[in-house]
Formats: sequence, C-alpha cells, structure tokens
Amino acid sequence: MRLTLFIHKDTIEIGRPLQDAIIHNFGTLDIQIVETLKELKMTLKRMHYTNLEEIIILFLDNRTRLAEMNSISNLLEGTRLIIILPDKSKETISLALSFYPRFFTQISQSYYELCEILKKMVEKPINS
Amino acid sequence: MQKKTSKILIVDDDTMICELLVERFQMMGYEALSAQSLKEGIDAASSEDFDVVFLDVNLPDGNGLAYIDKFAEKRSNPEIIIMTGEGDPDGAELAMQANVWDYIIKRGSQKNIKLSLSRAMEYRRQKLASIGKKEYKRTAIIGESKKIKTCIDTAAKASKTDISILITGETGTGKELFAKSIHDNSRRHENDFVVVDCAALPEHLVESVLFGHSKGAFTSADSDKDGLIRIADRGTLFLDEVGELPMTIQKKFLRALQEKRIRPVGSKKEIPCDFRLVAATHRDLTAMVKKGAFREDLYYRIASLELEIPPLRERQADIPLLAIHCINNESEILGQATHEMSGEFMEQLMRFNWPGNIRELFNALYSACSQALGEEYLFPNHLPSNIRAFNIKAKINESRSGSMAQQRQTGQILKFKDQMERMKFEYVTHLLSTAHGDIKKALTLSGLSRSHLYRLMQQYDISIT
Repeated sequence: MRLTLFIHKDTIEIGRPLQDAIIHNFGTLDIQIVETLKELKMTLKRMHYTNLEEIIILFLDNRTRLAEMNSISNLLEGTRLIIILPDKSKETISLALSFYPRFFTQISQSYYELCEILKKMVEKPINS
Repeated sequence: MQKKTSKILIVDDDTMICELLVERFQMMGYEALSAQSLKEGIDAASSEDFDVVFLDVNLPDGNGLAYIDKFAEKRSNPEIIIMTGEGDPDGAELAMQANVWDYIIKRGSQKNIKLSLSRAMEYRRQKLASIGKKEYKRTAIIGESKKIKTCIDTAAKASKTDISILITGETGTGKELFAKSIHDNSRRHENDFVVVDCAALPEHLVESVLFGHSKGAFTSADSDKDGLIRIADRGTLFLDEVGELPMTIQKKFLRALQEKRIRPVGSKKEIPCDFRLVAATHRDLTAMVKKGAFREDLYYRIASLELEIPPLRERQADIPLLAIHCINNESEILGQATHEMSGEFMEQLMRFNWPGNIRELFNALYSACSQALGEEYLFPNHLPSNIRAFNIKAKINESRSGSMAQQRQTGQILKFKDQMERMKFEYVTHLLSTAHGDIKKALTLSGLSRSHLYRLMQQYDISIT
C-alpha cells in the first residue's frame, strides 16, 4: 500500500499540517510526496506498471490548481482519490466531484476526519 | 410507407405443431416460418430478422434452453418464447433466468399461446419505439454480449426515472461505471454525482459525513459542514458498498430517503434534500436482512429496481472488446504505440476465469503492456504468471479427466506404449505448469536437456500457453 501526497512546491507551508498528519498517522506505510504536476503525472502513469495498491491525496489550495487536474483526469480515473479543497463553495465542490473522489474535505489545521477515513481505506482492499 | 409485417420463427421438430402454429400466426396477420432443428433455426435467424422466436426445448440436435443466447444475439434481438411438451419447473426457472419472454406448454390452450405472442409483440413495438427516441450513452461500458446488453437496458430504464436502484455484482464488475452512466443519462445529469464509499467511513463519523454537522456539534466540529446527502441535492447519491452502512445510520438514512429531508448532527433544523439514490454492493443483502445485519425496510426502499451485473466469466464474448479498449486507452495515456494481441495471447485471456473480473483483466493487460514495452505484439509470456499457471493446470485437468475417466468408463486399458505416451504428455504439461512456463526452471526441475524438452513439447504439441 502506498500513499501519494501531492502538495505543490508553492504551498509547502500551508500543506505542512496535512503532511504532518499523514506522516504521523501512516508513517509505517510507503508515503511518496510529489510537488509538481509533472511528477504527479509520472507517478500516476507508473501506477499502471505496478500492482501496488495506491491512494492519491491531492492538496489543492486554490481553484486554479483544482482546475489543472482536468489535464490529468484520464490518469486519475479509477484511482482511490482524496481531495483537499480550498473552500466549500458549490462550484469548487462540483469541480472536485468530477474526479469522483472517495472523500473530500477543506484545508484546515486538523485533518482528523480525513485520517480516520484514510485508516479505513488502508485496511480495506478496493471494492467495486 | 408500408408497415413492416412482424415475423415469427418456430423452432420445433414436430412438423404438425409447426404447421398448426404457422397457420394460426398467419391468420393473425404475421409472417411465420418454421425450422425443425436448432441448426436450421440458427441459420434462419442469421439470414432473416425475426421479432419473436418460439423455441422448443427437446430438439434432435440439442436442448433449446442452451441456445437462448444464440437466438437472442441475432441482429434483430428477437423476443424468445420457450415451448415445451411438458411443464418443467426447473426448466422454467432456467428460461426465466435467461430473460426469455415466456415459457409455454405447446399442447396447452391456443388462447394462451396467442396471448403470449400478442404481449411479446406489443412489448417489442414499445421497445423499438423507445430505441428510436434517444440512444443511451454507454460511456465506458464495453460489451455486446446479451447479458451486458440486458444490464444496459435496465440501466436505460432506470435513467428515465428517479426511483432508487440497487446494483449488485462481484468486485471489479463495473458497478460504479453503471451508476455513473445512469446518472449521465438521467434528468439530473447536469447536477452532481456524489460517491460515498460506505466501506471507508468509520462508524463514529458516518452520520456527520452523510448528514453534515453544525459548528460545535462535537469536538472537532469547528464550523458548519454540509453532508454528502446535501451536496447531492438535485443530483445523484451513489452509495458504494451500501451493506457496510452501520445499523444505527440505516434508520436515519431510510427516513431521509422517504421524506427527502435531513437533519445535520447537532442541528435543530431540517433541510430539504432532493437526491436520487443509486446503491451498490457485492454482498448478498437479502441474506444480511435475514441475519438482521441490514434493515428489511431500507432494503426494499433502495432496491426498488435491481440491476445485477454478471461476472466476466459469464460474458466471455466481451473479453476481446474489453481488452482492445483497455490496450488502446493505455497506449493513449502513456503516449506509446498500441500493442497488437497475438492469437495465443487472446486464447489465454479467454481461458482464464477472472475472479477479479474486469479490474483484474485490466491490471493484467497493464502489466502485459509494460512487459512488452517496445514490442509490437503481446504474447502469453507477457501475462502475469498466475494466469498462465492457472491456464496450464486447467488444460492438464481437462486432458486428465478426459482420458482417465474415459478408460474407467469403458473398462478399457490402453496399450502399454500408448499409456507411456500419455504419461509423458501429462508429465511435460505438469512440469511447465509448475515452472509457470519458465523453460529454465523446467529444465532445472526435470533434469532434462533443453533439446530433449523442446523435442517432447513438439512431439506432444505442447506450447507455453
């Protein structure tokens, strides 16, 4: 099982609480942190070659970065995806839903709910 | 414009029955033809478009029940009415599971036969009329087998209404894909499709995630938050693995489904919520209801319509199409030239039983494509070894059960020389299966020289497939 965490290099500081929460709760797993869209693309392509179960966590601090995910929507298809969104607006959520995430939440200081859900996802294999 | 006359085919070896029915149906204004064997019937259905096929069960060249799919898959996709000389409850059940229109006793009342035909024709008229109206967008649902077409028909019907639908099927069969297509073809397609992975929700968070919460409702609730049901307002809520919903939440969810109102955790106000429910599970919910693990009232509410997706092994005819789709998609994503599949490769795909269904098939194809990087063709050795091993074992078991069973059955003993030949064949196939098709390993295990092994393989026509 591998967790791939996308936190863009320009948002390392805002993304720090998330990174810390993931490492604190899932330090025993293989955690990969990618900082650019290009690296994320390569990671997603590489997933096709391995039989590893992976969960992708996208930290998207603004609507533009969320919209950029459209360019890799075909690579995100079928993945177990969690998205952290910049806000709760209907437009932002609708855009996020177009990637069919297993869970989404907003940027915050604590990621308790996300970590609890991630723990369950890590325990269970892929279903339908 | 001249109205097309509906055509009926009667497949029965009893010529008197055929003549009687042909005459009756012609008097009703239909064109009617008969065939006295399955082969004649299949040939007729291949060359002409029939609307209804009356298919006898006991025919000289086979059992009609086993040929239902072959008739149904013809271009005109006729309605099938099974005829039998005697009532057979098991046969009737088989026929209904195969989705035939009706099951009648041929020497029964003529009125019943005419009624069954009239209803089949009316159903067909309505079906053909609705096909013309708007084609169902299949998105990524690949397949032309009768079973998958039946699923698509059900999904198309579901997309025209707002009733709850329960999609069942083994893991990896594409339940979410069908759920998405129902949404995409529904009146709600411009609104959100919200996926809820019920298996991923810890019990202490399910209520808050589904129904939302108000600020301060519990320790970590630092602001108001909409639940997923609210987010699915005017759209579709897809509850994946609905069998994992805790009993404590099932009651509250049932109420939300019935009254279209929800109350977030910690809130005094109810919020209206208009969502369409699509649920999916690989579990047997009726068994769970019996055990008391799932509410019966909720089950009947979510399963107003049920869609069962067959496992891949029951729709093998779709494997080539699925494989082509996957490989083309893969090459597009990776920016590489498309691989061609060799005949032996396809044979491997068709032979394997795919317990993980389409997901497993696609993973195997991704793996094969990565093994074959830079090569034009995909061969069996590009496939994961577990698939090749399974197929070789299956082949051995087939040949073993064939020959030994035959000998026991007939009481015959082969000549010593022939028996030795057979044992050598079984040894070589077993060796290659154990070595997972790896020649080097096979040589180590057996102690044979490379040339000797290849000679034996050639002699007994054994390939690494």
